[in-house]
Amino acid sequence: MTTEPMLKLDDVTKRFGGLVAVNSVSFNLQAGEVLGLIGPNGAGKTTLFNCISGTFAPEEGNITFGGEPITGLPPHMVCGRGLARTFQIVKPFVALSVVDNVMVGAFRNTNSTSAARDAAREVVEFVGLGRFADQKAGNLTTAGRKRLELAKALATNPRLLLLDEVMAGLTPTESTEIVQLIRRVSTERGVTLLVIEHVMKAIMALSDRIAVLHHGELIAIDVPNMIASDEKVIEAYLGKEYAHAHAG
Amino acid sequence: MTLTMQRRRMIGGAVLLIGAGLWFALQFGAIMGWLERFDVVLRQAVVTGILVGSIFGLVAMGLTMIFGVLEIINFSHGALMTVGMYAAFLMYSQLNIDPYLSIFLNVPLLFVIGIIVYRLVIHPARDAPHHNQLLLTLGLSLLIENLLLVIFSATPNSIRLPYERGLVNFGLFAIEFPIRLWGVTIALPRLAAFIFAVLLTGVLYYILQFTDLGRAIRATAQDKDGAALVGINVDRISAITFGIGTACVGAAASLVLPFLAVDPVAGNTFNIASFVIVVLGGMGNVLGALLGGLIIGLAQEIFGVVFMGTPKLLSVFVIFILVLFFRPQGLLGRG
Amino acid sequence: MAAIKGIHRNYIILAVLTLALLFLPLGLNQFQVNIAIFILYWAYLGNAWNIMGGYAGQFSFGHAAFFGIGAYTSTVLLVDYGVSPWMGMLVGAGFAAFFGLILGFLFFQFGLKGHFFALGTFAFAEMLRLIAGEMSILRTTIGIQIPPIRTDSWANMQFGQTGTNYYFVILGFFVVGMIITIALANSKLGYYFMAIREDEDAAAALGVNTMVYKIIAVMISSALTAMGGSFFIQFFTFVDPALAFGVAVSIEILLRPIIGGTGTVWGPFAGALLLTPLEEVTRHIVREPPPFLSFIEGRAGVDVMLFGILIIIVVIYMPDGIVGTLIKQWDRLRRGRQRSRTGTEPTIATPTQPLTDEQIKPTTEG
Repeated sequence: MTTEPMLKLDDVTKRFGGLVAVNSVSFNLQAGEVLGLIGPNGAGKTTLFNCISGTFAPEEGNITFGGEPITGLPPHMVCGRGLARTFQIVKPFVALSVVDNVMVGAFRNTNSTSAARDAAREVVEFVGLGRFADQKAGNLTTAGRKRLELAKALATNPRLLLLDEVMAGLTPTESTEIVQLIRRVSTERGVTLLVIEHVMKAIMALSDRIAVLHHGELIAIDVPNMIASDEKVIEAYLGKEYAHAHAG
Repeated sequence: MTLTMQRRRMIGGAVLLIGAGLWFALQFGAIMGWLERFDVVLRQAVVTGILVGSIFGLVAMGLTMIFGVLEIINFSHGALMTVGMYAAFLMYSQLNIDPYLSIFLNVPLLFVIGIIVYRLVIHPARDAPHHNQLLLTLGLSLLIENLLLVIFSATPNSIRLPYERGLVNFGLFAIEFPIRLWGVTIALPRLAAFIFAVLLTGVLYYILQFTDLGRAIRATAQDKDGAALVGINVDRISAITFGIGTACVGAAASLVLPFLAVDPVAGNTFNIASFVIVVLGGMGNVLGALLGGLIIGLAQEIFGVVFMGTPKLLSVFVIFILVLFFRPQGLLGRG
Repeated sequence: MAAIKGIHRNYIILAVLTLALLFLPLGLNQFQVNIAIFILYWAYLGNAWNIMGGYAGQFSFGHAAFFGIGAYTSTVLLVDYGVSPWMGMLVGAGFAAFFGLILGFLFFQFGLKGHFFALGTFAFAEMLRLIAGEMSILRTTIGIQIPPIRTDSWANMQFGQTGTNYYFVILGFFVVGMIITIALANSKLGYYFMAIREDEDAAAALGVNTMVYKIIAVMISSALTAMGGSFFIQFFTFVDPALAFGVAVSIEILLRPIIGGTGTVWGPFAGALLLTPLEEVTRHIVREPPPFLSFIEGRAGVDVMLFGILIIIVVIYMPDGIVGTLIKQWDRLRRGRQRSRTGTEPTIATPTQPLTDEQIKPTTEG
């Protein structure tokens, strides 16, 4: 008995002039899953995110979300369908307070300011920014801004959340806390997650499955243990010699 | 693109321009003959357009350089030109210095004024958002214009060069002014302005392409941080660029004095035209400014002939809107 | 909570202010009432601009375009067709909103931002000025004069006798404008506007249709500005292309919000409170200067000169305007108090040890 995947990518291809950034990528994402997306720099991970979230329109292929096609829809409509994303380089609304920032996301689901404010405060508490709720976003540290970025997206009440390198620029302790937060997003709020990350230990521990991108192609998708010993993956990261050494 | 390839492109472009200019000059008779088929008024418009366009180009070159390096649209460019016009006027009326001589005083004077303006007003606001910087230069233009109004009142002043009509002796040859060729009238001041403008543009271009200063300016325009990394004093270059840009309007001011009246708002047409030209030619693109100047000059004059009675300025705005919509990077792209 | 109090606070302040302003004319002579009219008038226009320029971040240098559309529309309707300016004002607002729709759509579709957008609006206003000078229905550059009347006519918004009636009309405009601004600042629309201003991409990623909302901002701003134009002509009884579409109008409109503080509720009003009396005082000094300033007697341009200096000072030293800077200082004070309460500088986590496997593994199974 198969359930309809929440997100379905079929041969998604994105070209920039002569460069093929994403090459015929296909995979499914089940509801409630945490799918990690890894790959060397320049593998096309963020570009793939941008295709899914609507910032770019793929040249070829189809993206289906919740059974409905979203290929080529603009970002605000994709969000409207319940698919939210964070940005690798965070984009806070600097002049607004933390709560106001999150309210912008909350307004997706309501027209009432007080309802949006209540929803926003709840999310702000959830991500641990309760103490700074009324401070200007511009005053937050990097770690705080990462949480804010997450909170804004969460406030839209998404079914699927794309997290783009949330841990970039964080210290190890800050990273640990974020990992726990992300896990709670999945377990406590039931949000399906697609996570790009470079911190291996974190992504291995966090994900139910891991997809590996290399030169725009999906070279492996499996549970973390299998990925760690996959020859192609090792070759992509460390080169052929290591792959052979590992296998042999 | 390596620097030598870019340099080759620039030299190629310059040669092309000079070549086209030479060809045009040589073919002038043929072109005029061809144009003879059209109304003499139209012919006059074309000639006047080119003559005027050279001045626009000179003014716009200054503005585009300022934009290239400082990334601000200097709304006070026109007002500074008015300052130059008043300076040239005073030098003529009080000190009897011919404008074609006082230009050599006006240029350094406006250069210094530019540096002062940069230090006092522009530099302190370098971190402000773009629209605030635009506002800043707007405030500056209001200040300058009205300061001139307070000092000189609104009465227009103009000068007439005594030798602009009649025979002018150049030593080896003499020309009767105003020149009448193929039904077109070319007045001495306008021709002189054209020649000076082209020369000065050439000088400016040479400085930018072949001197260390010019290289530093171009480098800063391309990449401020990169330039700083290779040891260029970005602040100093910014000041100098603003000074040079202002000096351009100082030169233009001296050149237009013989045929334009000067009042506190005399620089306004040049202000508007120059930022349209800058966008038209490509922001920061010096050759583009020259080309854009010629285009705008021609467009204005031809528009004035075709749509008699309608203000010529309208054509400038129409072109502006068209460029903003369809080719915001300008004809020649960013410099 | 502070936020809810915030909304009510502004309405309460407005209510008190309105009450005070209603009784103000009792204690003033006609000349002073005129100054009050101008303060409220520029505050109203500043608020209109602020909606688009301050809240939505679409900086317009050509608001005279909307102003002039309103001014000419109601005037032509009145003079040629006998339509009451109250109706003409609404028609003018409709035209301006439509024009705003077209302009907004074109500009945003072609991706004009920042100084390109500002210059583009400037170009449009200038174009309208030149075109208006050619249109016979607008009496070209000669302009239209509204025939003066000796009596007061509320129907025609023309008060030949009682100048203070104009005051009450503009007070009404002002209060309505303030209510709209306060309501906006605390509504979904306002939040979306501000999000767009801060970061359009981030706003889009949160579900905001930036194109639509930007155009809405332009339309609201243009309609309100146009109505201000209609009022002005009724007060001044004469309009020509320069008065309607001139650069001076655009500059004066945005001057108050800039100096008072863009994107704030009270900024334009604060700016008008400061600038209009300053203008008057300057004009007075120019007419009868003190001995050491005798050289400026009778000279035009001193007031605008001061405006220029003020703009420069504000942009360099107070980019958030008067109200904006005050709000920032207030925030800083509050943070200081908070700091002393918690005892530490607010941060998130201080790193002491590197990550261990234990810390990364899930805390619960499954």
